[in-house]
Amino acid sequence: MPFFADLHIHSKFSMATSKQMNLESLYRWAQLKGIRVIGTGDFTHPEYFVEISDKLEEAEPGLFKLKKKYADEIDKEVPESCRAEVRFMLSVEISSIYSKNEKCRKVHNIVFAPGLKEASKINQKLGKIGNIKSDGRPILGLDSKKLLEIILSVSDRCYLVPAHIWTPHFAMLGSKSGFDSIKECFDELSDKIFAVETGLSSDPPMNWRLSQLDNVTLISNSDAHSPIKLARELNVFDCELSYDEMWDAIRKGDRKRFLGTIEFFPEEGKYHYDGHRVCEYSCDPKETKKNKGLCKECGKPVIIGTMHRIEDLADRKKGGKHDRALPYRYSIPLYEIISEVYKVGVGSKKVLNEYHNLISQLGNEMYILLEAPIDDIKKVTDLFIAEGIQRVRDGNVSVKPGYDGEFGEISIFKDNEKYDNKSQMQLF
Amino acid sequence: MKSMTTSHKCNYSELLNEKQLEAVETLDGAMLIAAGPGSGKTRTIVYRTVYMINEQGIDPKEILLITFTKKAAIEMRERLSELLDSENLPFVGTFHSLCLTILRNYSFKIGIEKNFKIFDPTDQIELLQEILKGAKKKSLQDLLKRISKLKNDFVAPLNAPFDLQEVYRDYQGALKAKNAVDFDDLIVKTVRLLEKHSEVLEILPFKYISVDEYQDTNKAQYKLVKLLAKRNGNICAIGDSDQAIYAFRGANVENFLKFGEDFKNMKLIKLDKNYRSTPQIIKASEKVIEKNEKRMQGDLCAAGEDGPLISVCEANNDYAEMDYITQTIDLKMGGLSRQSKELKQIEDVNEVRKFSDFAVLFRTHLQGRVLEEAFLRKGIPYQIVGAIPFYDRAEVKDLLSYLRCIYDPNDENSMKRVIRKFAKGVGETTIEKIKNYSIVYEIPFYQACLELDTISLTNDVKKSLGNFIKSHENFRNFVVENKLSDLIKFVCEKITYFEIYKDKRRQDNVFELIGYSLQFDDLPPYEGLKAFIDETAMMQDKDMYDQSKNVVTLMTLHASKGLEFPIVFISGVDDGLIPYEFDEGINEEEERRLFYVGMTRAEKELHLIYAKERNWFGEKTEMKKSRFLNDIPSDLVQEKFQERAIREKKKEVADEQESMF
Repeated sequence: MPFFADLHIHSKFSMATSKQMNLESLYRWAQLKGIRVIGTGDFTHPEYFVEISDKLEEAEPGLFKLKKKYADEIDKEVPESCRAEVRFMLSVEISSIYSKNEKCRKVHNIVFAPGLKEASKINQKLGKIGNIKSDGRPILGLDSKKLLEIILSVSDRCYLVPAHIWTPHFAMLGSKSGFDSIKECFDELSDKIFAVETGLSSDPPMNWRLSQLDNVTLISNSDAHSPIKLARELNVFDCELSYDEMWDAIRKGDRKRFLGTIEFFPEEGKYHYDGHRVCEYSCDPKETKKNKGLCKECGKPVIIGTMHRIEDLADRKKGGKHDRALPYRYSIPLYEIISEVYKVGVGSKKVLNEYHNLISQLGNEMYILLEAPIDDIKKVTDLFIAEGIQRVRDGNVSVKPGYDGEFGEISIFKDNEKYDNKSQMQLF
Repeated sequence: MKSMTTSHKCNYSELLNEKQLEAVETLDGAMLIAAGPGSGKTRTIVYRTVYMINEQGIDPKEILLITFTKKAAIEMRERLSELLDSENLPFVGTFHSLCLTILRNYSFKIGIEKNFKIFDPTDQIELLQEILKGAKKKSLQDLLKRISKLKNDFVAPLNAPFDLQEVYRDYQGALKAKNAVDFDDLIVKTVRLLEKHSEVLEILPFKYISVDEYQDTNKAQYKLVKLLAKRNGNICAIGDSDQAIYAFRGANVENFLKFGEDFKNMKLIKLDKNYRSTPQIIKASEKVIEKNEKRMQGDLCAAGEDGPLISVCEANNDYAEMDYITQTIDLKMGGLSRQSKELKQIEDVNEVRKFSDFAVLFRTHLQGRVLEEAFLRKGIPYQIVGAIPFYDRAEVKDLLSYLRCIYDPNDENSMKRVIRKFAKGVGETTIEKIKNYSIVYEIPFYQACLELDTISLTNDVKKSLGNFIKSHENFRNFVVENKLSDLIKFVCEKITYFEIYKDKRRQDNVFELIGYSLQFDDLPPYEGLKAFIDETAMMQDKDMYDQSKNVVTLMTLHASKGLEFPIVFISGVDDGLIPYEFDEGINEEEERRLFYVGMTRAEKELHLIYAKERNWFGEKTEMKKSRFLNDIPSDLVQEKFQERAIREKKKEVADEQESMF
């Protein structure tokens, strides 16, 4: 049975995150969303780490489950339609800020550990270098390569995956403070980097245009700071449920065991286009080039987005592809679809009620978005919502691209397809 | 063909400026090198030494280089070994290490056994505790300070202030009884030795002596220098009257100023070209220091290129002050996280900065703790120099002691610490009674604890100790069946550790410790406990400035001496802090020097911040900007203002809505 894994998330111990990001609600939300394996996030944080060791126990090698006494409580709150086993994988994102080759580098990397022992050792080593207590995603003045050396010295079953590699400010290949290649960042240890996270603002086809990424597997995660955002990007596995199996599948890019990824429409990500948030100015890379990289409003250099950056570093034409390329599929979070139909905010009561209605009647969110027969959906909800899901499945949406930290805006329906409570059938 | 050594030959006139060169080539007689900050002092000493050995053929054994700190000695030795035969270096060390070497060889002449022990401050406190039973640690530290001052001034117990006579005498007696000397004794006794036994002076090989940081010598050190120089008068003192900041430890800048009286015909060389800082920083610093009267230094001039003006920031209160510092760092680093305002400012940062380019200096340790809080909150990596190292913190030490007792109840020191701390109502007297009992019956301390009934103790104490023993036995049973981390959690829960240590930061340290223990969970119970105890015993983290760390350095003005950073913040430039107002008043000249030392640490940028209001010992206090700031000409200053930023709310989060599910 294929299963979904969301391996990069943050707990409440990271800055600017929801109080809800604790093990219990991760367990609950993973079920609502349909995630089988979820990263713990933040395992370097001392208090969280003790909590992890209290509440989780190893279920399969390298994977953990919430102890029964905690799980029983939560299960009551999960609709029966969604109940499923959830596994945790020890993970943490580290923000490395340092200078290399005369440039300031800011790179986020995700680190994975196969067990509490290994995680404990990593914590001890990083604790000596910097401060891991104040932020679940610690900022360290530590070279990414040195970080990789440290985790490998703990165990060769520890892995480092560069996070959302294209975001301008904090990524391995970012335009502002990144490198031009994996090699430039990791030197002789580059072969230890066998996977990278594409991030919300880029999709696999964009990454395929760089032959330097042919030998790494593209993975996708939500990087969620609140439960509702979990699973907005995902990895799909069809392998034995164990840490080593999953990593072996990723490392080999084995399409039988690592089936591919669920992706955001990259335009929806916060850094797809170039632009300036304060000037409310955005543009596509061609226009930026025409304007010599400057903002039309203020005349200062624009923030170069992922599309532009990839264009700069690509050595294949658009549409180019390599043999190892894995399948992917776009999706949009269910609450966004509901929100558009009802024309109310994603966080509104109305949206959340309908979300809850759908998952209790049909099953978890990923099932609804990807698999549930549209006829079944129609039976339990608004036709517009069912239609919205269908259109998302077909990729039949339009997106105003995001830029400089501003999310892109998705529209599933056209302006003339107004939703009207009384005449729902207007659509057809 | 010349010998191999020619490859090391230095072209001194290319490596040094005119005055430095003059200092290097002056070897005979007395010389005072007045070296301003950043004027290439260490460089001059290093090449002077190389010149002596390589050009003049002086035997390295005849050269003595005295440094102010151990760290300076290590660095000096490193620099010398790059240029000289590292197997054959001169003696480079502190006054203490020199005296130790001399005493180890000749102490018998003044009635001290050759194998004497050296008591460090911890030993000293313990010794005083034995003399004055039941005294508070704080009062003992004050006592030690006063005794130390007396010793360095060569005041005998008999001539000490009345209240000190007895304890000072008993303290010296106890040291002698234990065949021990303290750090002060090392120097004082050496002076005695050399005064009484001039033949020792004759045996010592040193013919060329140089003393660094001469302005910070105290009376005993000064006497020692004079004695050592007596032999042939080749003495080179290096220092800066403007950087004398150790009066509180008994140092006396007069030693420096009257060098010419002590050594007639001395040569004075002023190194007044600064290679460290921008002209703006040097001009501003000079304007501040020139108000002092007790000084020898001339006008320092900067060799480097122009830089930005000095930023002088008025902060609304101490929180705003922290905001200014952390936001400036965030900005200079080009934004540290997505939450950074600086990312939204779309300014491009020109200079490539790293965390270790920044230092924040302050007058008192208390300010350091507040600053640390701000850095923690922002998640900016930092090191705080002079902070208590992790494994020395009470909350970590207590817990580790507890674990040591559980592993081995006969670990007497740990057992005592734990009983003192955790057995309610049990104090020194009880512990002593138990100890006596154990001595009389020749049984281990813990065994004596188990035989409480036969020791004369009050019922309350017996009950309390009884409970303690019971839970201790309970823990010992728990070990057998459980993982190490569970044991530690169990102990914390049972002894209500988080009630004892309520402070969040202390609790975080405990979490950190528990986290580390997890790596021993797969060992058999006792082995895991043992491995953890051994591992933590090996852990020694330093409280010293670690140059290799890419983190922001927070430290007192005193600790900053000798260091340099591209960007320096001095926080708390308020009257009362800078200059610091002691109960007994203000030593304005000394405080001015301290501020000067701080300012001259900066290479490129200097930020001086004062707050209009700050929390001072728990009270909101109105503050005024430091009088020293008025001495900086306004054309060198860029004024800034910082109001308290509104505490950033957690953004991009849908907390409220989620609670509906």
